[in-house]
Amino acid sequence: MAHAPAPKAATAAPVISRMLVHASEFRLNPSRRVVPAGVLIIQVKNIGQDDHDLAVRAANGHILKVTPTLHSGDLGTLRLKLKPGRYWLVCTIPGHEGHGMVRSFTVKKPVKKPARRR
Amino acid sequence: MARTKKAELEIERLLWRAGFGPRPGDTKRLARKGRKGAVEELLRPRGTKWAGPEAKVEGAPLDPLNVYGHDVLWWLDRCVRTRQPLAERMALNWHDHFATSNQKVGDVELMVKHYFTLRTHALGNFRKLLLAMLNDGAMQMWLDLAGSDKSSPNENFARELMELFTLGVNNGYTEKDIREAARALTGYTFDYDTKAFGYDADRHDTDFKRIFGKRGRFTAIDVVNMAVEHPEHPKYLCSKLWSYFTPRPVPKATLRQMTRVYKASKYEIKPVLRIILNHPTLYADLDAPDQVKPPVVFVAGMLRRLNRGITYDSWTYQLNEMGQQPFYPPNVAGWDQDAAWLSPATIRARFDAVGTLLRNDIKDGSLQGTETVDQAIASAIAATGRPLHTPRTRAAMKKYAAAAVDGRTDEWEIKHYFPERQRVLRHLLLAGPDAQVC
Repeated sequence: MAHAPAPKAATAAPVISRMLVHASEFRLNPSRRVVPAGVLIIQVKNIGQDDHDLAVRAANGHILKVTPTLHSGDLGTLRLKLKPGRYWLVCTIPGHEGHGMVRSFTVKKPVKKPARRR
Repeated sequence: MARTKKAELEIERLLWRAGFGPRPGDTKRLARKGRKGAVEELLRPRGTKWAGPEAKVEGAPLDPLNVYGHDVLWWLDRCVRTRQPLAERMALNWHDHFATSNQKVGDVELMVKHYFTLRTHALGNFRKLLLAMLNDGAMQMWLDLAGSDKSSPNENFARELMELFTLGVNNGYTEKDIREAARALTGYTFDYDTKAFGYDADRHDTDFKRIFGKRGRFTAIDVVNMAVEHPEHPKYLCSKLWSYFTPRPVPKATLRQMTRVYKASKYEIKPVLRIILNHPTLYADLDAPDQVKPPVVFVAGMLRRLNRGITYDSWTYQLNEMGQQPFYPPNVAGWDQDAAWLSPATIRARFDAVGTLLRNDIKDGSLQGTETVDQAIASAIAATGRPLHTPRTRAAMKKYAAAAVDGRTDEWEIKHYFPERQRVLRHLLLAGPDAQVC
């Protein structure tokens, strides 16, 4: 006789956050500056005339992820798992960061909801 | 035409042109109030704002600020679920009038605030609406009001204020008036880091300006007031309002009446709408509608009629293909209306969008092979919320319904062709020629 599968331990659902960034000459405009730790999906829309891209840079200077080059009107997506800390959104096309295409954002520990009293 | 039938056709016309079409039960309920009573209900919205299922995409509520395309769905959802259709429709009309696009603003939060500026004043006072536009962040970004400095005044807002918002192209102003008004409109600021809008008196040009023949140390508010009080303004705005409700030219006497009422009320919008919505022209040729539904009205109206909500995000792309995405008007002049909505590409997009909506409604094998032509047509009409259709369409549906299953007697044919006939009939009712006009 087959045994019923053992019940799995309850696991917390991963926190998935979203951010929308508009890129143009020469600025990045993120929809939020603080997100909870966990998975972050960033969409970037190039509303400018020139090509741009979007990278996420950690505090140690490493580029964690970068989109392909986005032509005018293109939409790009990044998916990252981020720990608490400060990060930077940058356009890596030469000269663009220097012209202003850099914005920081903060990843914070998710706030635990207090357990309900019965 | 029977009296009751005529009354319902009038209400149906009113609800399409002054809103987004009827929800189930609306037409009969308002027909009992009569045309005048129905217009008053639209002009004085009360009670709960929303009806029908809340928008959800992949089971989650919309996130317009953080997910691309959800801004468009968010506005569409308001059109679908509103119980205050005229106010909501006027918000969309004002969006066309003040045509501000996120394509340049690049900030959905500002655009949503812009929507609320339009919606708050939708049925209110035009002077107040225009003054609110002056302080609206999205508008300040769109027409470069923010950052305009006395050393180099930006003329964009001043130009569109006269050309599009209040007077009409080359109608009672000169290039000098625009340049002088631009000087009066200097001083607004915006900080990209803090997203704070402000006003810096040091950046404002305090010298004398000459606008519309008057001389003074005019400010931004003075410019708005002078534009609204310009003798050409009432005629321009009343004609524009008329054009949102009927493609037919406004009779001269009606235009005179509207401008008189508009001026006497100190620029109230509602009294002008009351004249338009009660005018016989709006109800002419009830059996031959001549206004093309704008894409947002076409889609929202279909969902309202079917009592459905937004459950997928393809509408964002489909509205783009149809030629109208809220928050993204094509240019400062807004959308081209009426026949301009219809091209082979946009008609195809409308047809495809209905196909997407209906794709899972009727499965193969779900209908009996005994369904007659009349039953099939009656079933399709009932399932699509009894949309208006002409005798010509009815005849075409009858011809098709007979041919579609003629000789289909094998089991597999019955399983496929009877549901297919029903799918096509519903599709024709929702996307055929009759469904494009109101």
